[in-house]
Amino acid sequence: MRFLFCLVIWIVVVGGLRVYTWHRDAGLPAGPSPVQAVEQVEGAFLLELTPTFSLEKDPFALDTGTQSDALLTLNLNGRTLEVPEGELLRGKKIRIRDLPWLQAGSNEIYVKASPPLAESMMDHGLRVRLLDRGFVIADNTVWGDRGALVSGTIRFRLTLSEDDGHDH
Amino acid sequence: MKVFLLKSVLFAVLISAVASVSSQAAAGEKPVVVASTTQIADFARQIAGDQAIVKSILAPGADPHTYQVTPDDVHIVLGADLCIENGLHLEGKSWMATLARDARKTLITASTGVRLLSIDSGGQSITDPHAWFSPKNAAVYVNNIIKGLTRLTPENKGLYEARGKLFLQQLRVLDAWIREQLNLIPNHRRILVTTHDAFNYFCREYKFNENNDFLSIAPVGWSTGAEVGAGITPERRRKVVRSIKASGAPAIFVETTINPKQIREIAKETGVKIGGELYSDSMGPEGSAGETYIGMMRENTLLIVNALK
Repeated sequence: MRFLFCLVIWIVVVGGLRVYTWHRDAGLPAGPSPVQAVEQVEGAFLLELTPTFSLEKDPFALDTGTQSDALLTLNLNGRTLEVPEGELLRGKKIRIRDLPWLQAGSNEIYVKASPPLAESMMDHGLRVRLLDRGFVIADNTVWGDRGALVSGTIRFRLTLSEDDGHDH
Repeated sequence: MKVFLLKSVLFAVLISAVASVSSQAAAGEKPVVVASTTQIADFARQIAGDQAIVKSILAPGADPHTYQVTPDDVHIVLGADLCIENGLHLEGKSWMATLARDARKTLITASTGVRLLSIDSGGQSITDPHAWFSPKNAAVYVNNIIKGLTRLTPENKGLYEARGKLFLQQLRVLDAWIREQLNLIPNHRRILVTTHDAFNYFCREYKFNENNDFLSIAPVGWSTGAEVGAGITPERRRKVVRSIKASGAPAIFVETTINPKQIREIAKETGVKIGGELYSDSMGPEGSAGETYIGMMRENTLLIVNALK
């Protein structure tokens, strides 16, 4: 009898605590707030990259067996873009036309590339241009100090016009 | 009855408190990583951050070749979730592998996959274990440690890789900076003479000792222990004296982990100055400039440049 009584009291106390904490936390937000819908823009966009160096495999890249750093990492609004295959040479333009995640409003391009270690005595740069039907929308150069990777972000805005769907 | 009721309530509250504390402890428990050397412990700390407790068996300034395991080390390894060794017989008589095996703990070898250097020592081909002296090899160590930690706690993979990327970039910049600094030393003065053969990877990477196939010059072999090709021999000593006299080395260096007596005698005999004390098999004590890998490499480079340029 005493044991049962003790058990009942234990259940009441623990249950009370549980009910209290449940009520206390009920007002807290359940998770991240929903992301605002973005409007895609359409156009004849072209991303053009021009390095001051020939890209080569970086002996200091992350290589965990399942993930390796690419020679050239290119992200558009947080998503990785496909980089054309083939040699990435000094002064040779790299052109990318498939840019599916361009959106109305703010956009961001992140680039990272590894210059040769043998040229670690000099600064290197990567010119990034975004064009729409030949008109320049963004033009910037990302620099890397001696020995460092060339990496940085380029931000630009795109706006939609009312008549033809977009206007930059 | 009242007393009984009060006791019951107190008992219930106590049980709840104990359960709450023990579950918090379980949730906050961090895995323990035990590294054999100070360099490997530093790499592991850079990657693990606050997600693991990293301990080093060797204290700063200790010599891994001749280290004698203590009961405390056994206790530390018994509490480990992951053990990391340098490998390549740096740990004399493979003491770290033995500790891990006896305690039945997972062991990873950080040097797996580095571009190894073989040296000729008394007619024997020896694989040099001091691979971390090339930052490129240090990057291989770091990638191996990321893999090991990820296998231990896969839920932290993203954190380990993010920290790893930052540290690898720091190593890349360190490498470029070392090249820039060493460029101040004229080619004919790029002669590195140290107490023991620990700097082969450094010499090969940064082009020291051209007349010795870009390998280090030292009176003591690859190990200070009693392994094949290790220790000092009269022939090695004569060769070093000859090299110093022929090359006109402006300075020679002692190491933090080894008794400087031999090198001081050679300096006296050849009439060259002691350039300073290099961090070699172990990093510097806490609070010193050489307490991290990057700090150790930086200080070594500055010391070498100042003595030889």
